[in-house]
Amino acid sequence: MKPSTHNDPESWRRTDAALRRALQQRCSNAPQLPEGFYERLQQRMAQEAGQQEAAAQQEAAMLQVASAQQEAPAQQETPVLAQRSPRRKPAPARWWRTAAAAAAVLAIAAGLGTWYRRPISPSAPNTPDAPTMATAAIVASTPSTPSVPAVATTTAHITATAATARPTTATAAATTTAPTLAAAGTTTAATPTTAPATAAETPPLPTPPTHKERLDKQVAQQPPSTPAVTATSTGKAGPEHTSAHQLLAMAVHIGTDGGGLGMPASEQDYAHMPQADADTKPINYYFPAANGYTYDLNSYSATASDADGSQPTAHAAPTRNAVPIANQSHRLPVTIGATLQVPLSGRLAIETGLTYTRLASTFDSGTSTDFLHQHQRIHYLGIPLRLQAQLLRAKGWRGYVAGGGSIELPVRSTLSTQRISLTHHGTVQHSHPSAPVQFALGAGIGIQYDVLPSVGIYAEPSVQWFVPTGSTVRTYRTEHPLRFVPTVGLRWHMNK
Amino acid sequence: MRASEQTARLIEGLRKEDPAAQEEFLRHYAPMVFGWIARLTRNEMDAEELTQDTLLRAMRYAHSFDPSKASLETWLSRIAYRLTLNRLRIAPTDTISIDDAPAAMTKVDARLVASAFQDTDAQAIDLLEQAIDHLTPLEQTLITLFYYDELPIKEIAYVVDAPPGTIATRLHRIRKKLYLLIQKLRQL
Repeated sequence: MKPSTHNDPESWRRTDAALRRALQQRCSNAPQLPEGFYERLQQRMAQEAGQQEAAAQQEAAMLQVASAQQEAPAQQETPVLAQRSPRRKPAPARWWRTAAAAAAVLAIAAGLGTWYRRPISPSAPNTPDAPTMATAAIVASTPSTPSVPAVATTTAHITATAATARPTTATAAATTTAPTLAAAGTTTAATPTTAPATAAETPPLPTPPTHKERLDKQVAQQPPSTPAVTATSTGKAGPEHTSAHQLLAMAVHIGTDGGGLGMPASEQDYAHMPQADADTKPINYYFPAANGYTYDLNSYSATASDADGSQPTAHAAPTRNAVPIANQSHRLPVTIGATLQVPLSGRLAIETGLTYTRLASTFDSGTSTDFLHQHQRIHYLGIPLRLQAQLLRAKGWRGYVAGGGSIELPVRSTLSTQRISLTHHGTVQHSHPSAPVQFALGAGIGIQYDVLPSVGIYAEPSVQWFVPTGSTVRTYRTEHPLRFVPTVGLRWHMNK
Repeated sequence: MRASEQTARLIEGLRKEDPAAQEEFLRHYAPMVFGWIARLTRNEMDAEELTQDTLLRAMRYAHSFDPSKASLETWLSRIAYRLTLNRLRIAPTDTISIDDAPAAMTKVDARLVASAFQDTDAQAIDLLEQAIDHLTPLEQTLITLFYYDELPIKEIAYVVDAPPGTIATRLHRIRKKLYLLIQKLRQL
């Protein structure tokens, strides 16, 4: 068979050399800065600075006039404000905008929750056709309460705000809710101090004297050894009411394995090899971390889409921009999930649920002019199991510690490989690496503020250790098994 | 002091509008930026104006420089080349039309291109330079960055804001286009 001349490496190398010669000759006489360049630049800078100063002064003057007119009630401020300079103020930092948006979403969720809850009355019809986990949970824990429909409605809203979490929530309900809640019901019945509180949490329409009597009774029953935690009924009290009891709760949360939310953590474990040393030092000198370069070349080149079957480095031109590279870059994993918390005792609660995590990485291997560019994405579904101990509660604030583990199952993994060079381009191959099952252990402290009696926002910084799996699939977690995890979320207490 | 620390100190000074840092920045980078731009514009006045635009813009937006994405030089070249390409885009370009260019390019293979570039005499180099002059500004930028500045493809992709695969494809096509242009120039 006649060999293809289309990708003849030797011919392309000769072409590259000729082009390099021509361009070096063309650009060798580097143009020099013209005489008086800096003076003219200084003049322009001064001119622009003067214009900016004038604009700032004009703006300040207009603001002064506007404030003066604002103080005079007879005058309208609109015409003056309309004359303001259209100069835009510098945009605030992006994380501020993100935080403000998150706070707005939480506030809207809490507000709508209140709005939905308001029309509840003892005569309100039950709605057994709401097939959500929260509904089932409430029915099982407080079967006679008339507030079930309202709670179910609130749940639907909250899960709708975290749209990704909703389907997973419903799935988890079918398998885990019934036995867990049965256990919770037993615990509640067997604990004398908890039983009246549970009954008081959802009275049909509590009359003020009865409620006060129960409240006084509970305060009297609280042991004097814990003065910081004041036990009261949960009833209709606002965020300032206090109670040491763990409550049946549902939470939606988002977290990441480090740093800040949504920020890419690009890390260059292997650097570009400096040209000056390229001929004198062994390759492992530059990539001592894990012999990564050799690994990349040997393992990833087999998946290359090269038409002539050559290795990525086979016909790299020996230039400064053709140095060997082996880079890996991992984005910060972001986890979202929904969990259900079931009280075990006054202070202890067990929490489980379903989480979703996406791990994304990119790898480059070869030389900087002829390399394999790979995108790896692994999607995990996880089941956490944690024990939470409430330490304090006062004026709507709760502090707690939590610890436990989780198991995460890979549901989908893709590795797209593209060879990028001057002769090979465009074709992308997809494969499915076998991602391992991931176990993790973690512990952290949390703080929650109840914006409403039944809705709290919480932040839970924790430390997680991802148990090494021995897999060759590299992810952020294999590179950083021990990570700080900031988690924020919304927790809804269903039996309040 | 390490280069990264020096750059960080310089950027911090620019962010605070420190005159000493501005002076150091201009003295160090103005010749380099002017060289990049003058190679493309071939016009000293345009090059000076674009150099001033680049440096002023860099000082104004020093707060947006992210050392994890690129070096200061690469960041500056990104500003310079974008401004220059925008200017050249509206200027008339001396191009030669190639009849049925896509079909012609598929017929060009590596050995044909290499045969056109194998001569190293002054006439052949001159012909190649003429062919380069007839490339579009973006194409001239790409081959200058790749063959003269010897930037890696990923850095070129950052400078011109395009995917690395696209840059590799374009460089591949430019070589074939240069071959066709040389053939055309020989016929003229």
